[in-house]
Amino acid sequence: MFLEYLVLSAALIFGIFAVLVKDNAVAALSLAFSAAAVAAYYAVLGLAAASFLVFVIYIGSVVLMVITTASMYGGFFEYSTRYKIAVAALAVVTALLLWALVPSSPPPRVSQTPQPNFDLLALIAAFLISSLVVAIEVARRL
Amino acid sequence: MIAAIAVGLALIAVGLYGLAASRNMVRLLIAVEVVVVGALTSLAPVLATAPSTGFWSLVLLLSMAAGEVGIIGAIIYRAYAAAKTTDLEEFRAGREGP
Repeated sequence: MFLEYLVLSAALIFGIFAVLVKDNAVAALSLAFSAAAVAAYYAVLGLAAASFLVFVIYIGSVVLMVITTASMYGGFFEYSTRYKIAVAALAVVTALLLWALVPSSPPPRVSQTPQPNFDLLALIAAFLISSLVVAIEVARRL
Repeated sequence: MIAAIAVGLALIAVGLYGLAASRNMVRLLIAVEVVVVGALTSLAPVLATAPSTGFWSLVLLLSMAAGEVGIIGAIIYRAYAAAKTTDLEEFRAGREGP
């Protein structure tokens, strides 16, 4: 359960970075990390085929094209080599940590009946707050 | 599972905010992809409960994402080749009046 929340929060944080960061190339890399976290969540749930599809097809083709496009117009090629090495090392360390943390056997399936618990309240709160934030920010910029 | 739907909805909202707030074509492309990642996250409970339906929904979503990135990427390349910019404000400023 803790690992699921960890991976989901990583997907959310990198997704927010992808929109808020100024640099195009960094935003595209954040998008790739977010998609990788979603694929890792599929792997944690034991959905190997779906995880493979997201890793290979989505990240391997779609996100790669986004990164290429953003790098062409984002100035990534002008970055220093030290920065590129640091980003690559961070990606490798994150991947190795996830690889070490993913359990070998899939977790047992639980009942999918929605219960009035903390998760449901968190869902409603996330939906309402995100709608409110989007509405306010869009109204400010119109 | 509900946490996955919550995170997916939040990512979709963040992507919609990026679509509304950004004026650069590359940022618009990235914002659309954030929406797709949110949809992928929201699809996880469907995959866990109804694997067949979820799997084909996933294939459909990935196909749509690939096609949409191809089209938007082609528009970006063409616009940059024609106007040497990807900023929508500059396109609007360069448009001739009626």
